[in-house]
Amino acid sequence: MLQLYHSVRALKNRVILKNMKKYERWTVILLIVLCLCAVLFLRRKSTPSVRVGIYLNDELYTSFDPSEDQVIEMDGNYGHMVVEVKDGGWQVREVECPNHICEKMGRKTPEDLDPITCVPNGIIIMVESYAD
Amino acid sequence: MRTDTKRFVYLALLSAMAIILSMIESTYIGSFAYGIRVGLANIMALITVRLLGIRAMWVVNMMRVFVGMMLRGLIFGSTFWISMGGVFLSSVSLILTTRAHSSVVFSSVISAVCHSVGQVIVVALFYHQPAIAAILPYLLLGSVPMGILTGIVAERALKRIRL
Repeated sequence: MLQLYHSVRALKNRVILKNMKKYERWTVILLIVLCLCAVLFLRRKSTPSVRVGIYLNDELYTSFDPSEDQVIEMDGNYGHMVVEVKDGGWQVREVECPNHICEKMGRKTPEDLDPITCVPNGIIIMVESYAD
Repeated sequence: MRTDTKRFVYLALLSAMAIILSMIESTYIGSFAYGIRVGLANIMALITVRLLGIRAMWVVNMMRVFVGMMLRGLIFGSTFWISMGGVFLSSVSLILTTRAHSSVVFSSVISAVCHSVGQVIVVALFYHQPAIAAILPYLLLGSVPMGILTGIVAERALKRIRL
């Protein structure tokens, strides 16, 4: 602990904050704290009420809450598809199609803006709505 | 006469370096999560404002946006206006921090923060996307370390330049 304190002091005296005035240091620290608070607030607000939609041929087939673990099975234009929802994320587990691209797209979370698409089956899995 | 020429040459060199840095950044480094970028070209703005003054800094910043965007073929596109908004607000903040005799690192942090804010304002107002304000905290959180980084580089460079 004492070592950490000394290394922080040494860093402070050496490069970063040597020429900074006291009020400047505090302004930067205040800015970081405010941003962290805003980030935490936004994260807490947006996680619970996310809804993810599964679209079949451009029409909403079903939607799910990513915070509830479940397995969704459905039939697309080409064949069967199994979507696994687990630990706030979702991914295609099994699919009947030529290239299995949607399986390779991996696990998605509400932070990912890109949808999972399966062109042969005509299925798109994307975030439908956030908190408000 | 001699000093005028010297200033002019310095201005041209700094503008050229700013343009090159912004092109290198957009081509080879790109942006991290949430569109956070290092802002290498801001180093040149910081150096110019200390060496040659506020008017020269405007020239360098505008040259970097206009010529940089022209070379990338994006001039007067949406990227151009967003970039312009960021550069305008960061230039204004640089003027204020220079007038207040702030340290280089602090000016750099404030101008990096203002750059992000300016970009978000342009997107929110002129492109009618107010929801973009939600990424502002993430952007600002990235701006602070990047501002410190560019500020340290500018400070080190300024120590070694004799005009």
